[in-house]
Amino acid sequence: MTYLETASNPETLNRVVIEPITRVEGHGKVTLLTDAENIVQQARLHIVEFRGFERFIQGRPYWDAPVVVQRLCGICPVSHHLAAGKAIDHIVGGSELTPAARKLRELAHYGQLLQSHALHFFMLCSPDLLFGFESDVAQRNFFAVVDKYPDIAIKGIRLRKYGQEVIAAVLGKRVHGTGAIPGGMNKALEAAERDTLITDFEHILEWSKDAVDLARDSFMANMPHNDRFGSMRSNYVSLVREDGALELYDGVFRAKDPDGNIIFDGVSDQEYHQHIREEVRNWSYMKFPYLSALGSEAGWYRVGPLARMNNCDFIDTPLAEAERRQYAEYGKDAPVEASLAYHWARMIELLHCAEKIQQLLDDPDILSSDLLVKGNRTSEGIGVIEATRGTLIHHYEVDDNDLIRKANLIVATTHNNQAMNEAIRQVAQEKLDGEEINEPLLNNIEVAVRAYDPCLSCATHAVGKMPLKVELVNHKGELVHSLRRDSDGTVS
Amino acid sequence: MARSADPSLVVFAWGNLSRADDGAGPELAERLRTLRLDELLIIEDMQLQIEHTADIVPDVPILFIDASVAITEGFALQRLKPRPDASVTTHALCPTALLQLYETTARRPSPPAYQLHIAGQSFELGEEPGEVNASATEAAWAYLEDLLARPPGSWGRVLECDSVERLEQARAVSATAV
Repeated sequence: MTYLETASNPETLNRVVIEPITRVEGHGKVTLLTDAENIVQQARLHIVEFRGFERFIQGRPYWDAPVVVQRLCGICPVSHHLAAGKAIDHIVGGSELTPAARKLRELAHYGQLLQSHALHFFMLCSPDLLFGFESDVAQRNFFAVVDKYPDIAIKGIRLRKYGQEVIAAVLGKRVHGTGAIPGGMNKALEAAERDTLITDFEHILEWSKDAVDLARDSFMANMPHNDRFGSMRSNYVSLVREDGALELYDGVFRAKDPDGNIIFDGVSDQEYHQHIREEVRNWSYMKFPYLSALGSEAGWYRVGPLARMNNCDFIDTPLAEAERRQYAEYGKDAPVEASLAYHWARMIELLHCAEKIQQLLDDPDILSSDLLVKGNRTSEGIGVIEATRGTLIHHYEVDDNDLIRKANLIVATTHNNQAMNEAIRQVAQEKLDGEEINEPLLNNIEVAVRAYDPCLSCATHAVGKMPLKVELVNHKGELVHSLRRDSDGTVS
Repeated sequence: MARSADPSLVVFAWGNLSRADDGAGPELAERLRTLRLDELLIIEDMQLQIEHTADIVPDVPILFIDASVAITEGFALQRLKPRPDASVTTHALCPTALLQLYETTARRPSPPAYQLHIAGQSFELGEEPGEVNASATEAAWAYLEDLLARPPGSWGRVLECDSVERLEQARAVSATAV
């Protein structure tokens, strides 16, 4: 248990609830317990949905998994589709894909990362970065960005749209398409589709580079505040390529400690369960993973763009590598700890994905119809990819009737559970202690959560106009103070 | 992903085929695709979202197609004007908000736009479309077939004329039903 996770005397404290957290994927809330002097004694991030996918996928045929699991999420269905596809590849003995199948999956994956990173940075977070964390709530939404910074907004919209075009070309639809089947892909890319993507690629690199500039400049603009905001020492986990390069589709596990020392490296993704355990706590539906070698107290870690940038030795595309070097210089070649640096790392990845898409569209393999391999059937499959928000693990066991007997899914937001809780505790102490609570102050808490781009489930993401009610209730259950923000932005 | 280079009409159809009457939009989009008309640009999705503004083609009329509880049977055709959105999620942008977003980002007037409302009553997951919706979808399809059988250059004018008449008819139907 960590500092501020559980107060010793909760019944005597005032309770503040932020519900829902806006501009994140899905539904969550933050609860704060404060004492009579408004000093925060407890802060928790709660995920209020229960999805149960691991349970109800049991009993379904294994070839259904890549299709069914997409319904986990309307934002990152491609990530779940591909992770499940990789797992099922192992079950049919087809994990060594043909070059065309592998490259088509990578193309869809880069399209997914491009569109989702653009969505998060421009539509969900740019209002905080452009207007200020405590700016007028009425303008803290994407439509205000469109009004005041239309050029930035248009780039965000077009980057997201292009990523979705790539997905649609490979998987048939922007959302919930299909493509990955056991041992390969079910559809070749047609030359006309490839040519359309090449035509539409114009400006994508330029806009991606602009996005990195915006993310870096907004991070550096307010120092040392942004470096301290939600900052923490943590371990880092990600896949890397065997030579240490940033790798998003397939690779080996690397873990670093807060000083950048290797905890383990070169670990096969098929052995994840030997290194990662999950702990259940009675106040959250979301589990708390940790590195088994370090135990639950010291073994929690961060995943996602920040971890990937801290863990890799280099990026194999030139523009993104140049940006990574600046990032590494900022961190003095040690892991960058600031939560807000997630945005910077995320946009470097967006640039990398754009470069990779360009490379793949020029690759003649991408049009090949040699898309399937077969092998020996096994009863267990593990698929791991670096999804938008971090490491995504799908693990299935299948019975002799081809039905899924057991499923274990560890998603990026779960890996980052402890880190997000640490971030809100740090920000709550820094910003709220001793202050009369108001909406702008509370947005700091939401900014800390948003930095991790959590996908709290899948269904809804607000744009900043969601009605928000904050109530301060004393230990007798009496309402002491309340604030309400209506859908039109009015605070009363 | 074959795409019309010079469309005469942009169609946005949205909904969820797994949710009973909500699938009317995608159902009609699928039928439109079978016509293989180069002058038709068809955009199908689960919901209207911000990035759909980038699918709008300057000066090319737009037809939005969606299931609707605003009418009790049949279909209605409504002329739309850009309007700021007061809804709460990006997943559920309404057509008028999309047009407003287009005007802001493109810095030009949005094209003439119309919405084809298909009567819907049930939107439960896993259910089949109801009789009212199925009938409405067929009626709307007959209308679309008639529209698209005309020269592409006339589609916009026909929609403009029909939008007043069809909406009034639908209002009369609703009033009768009540």
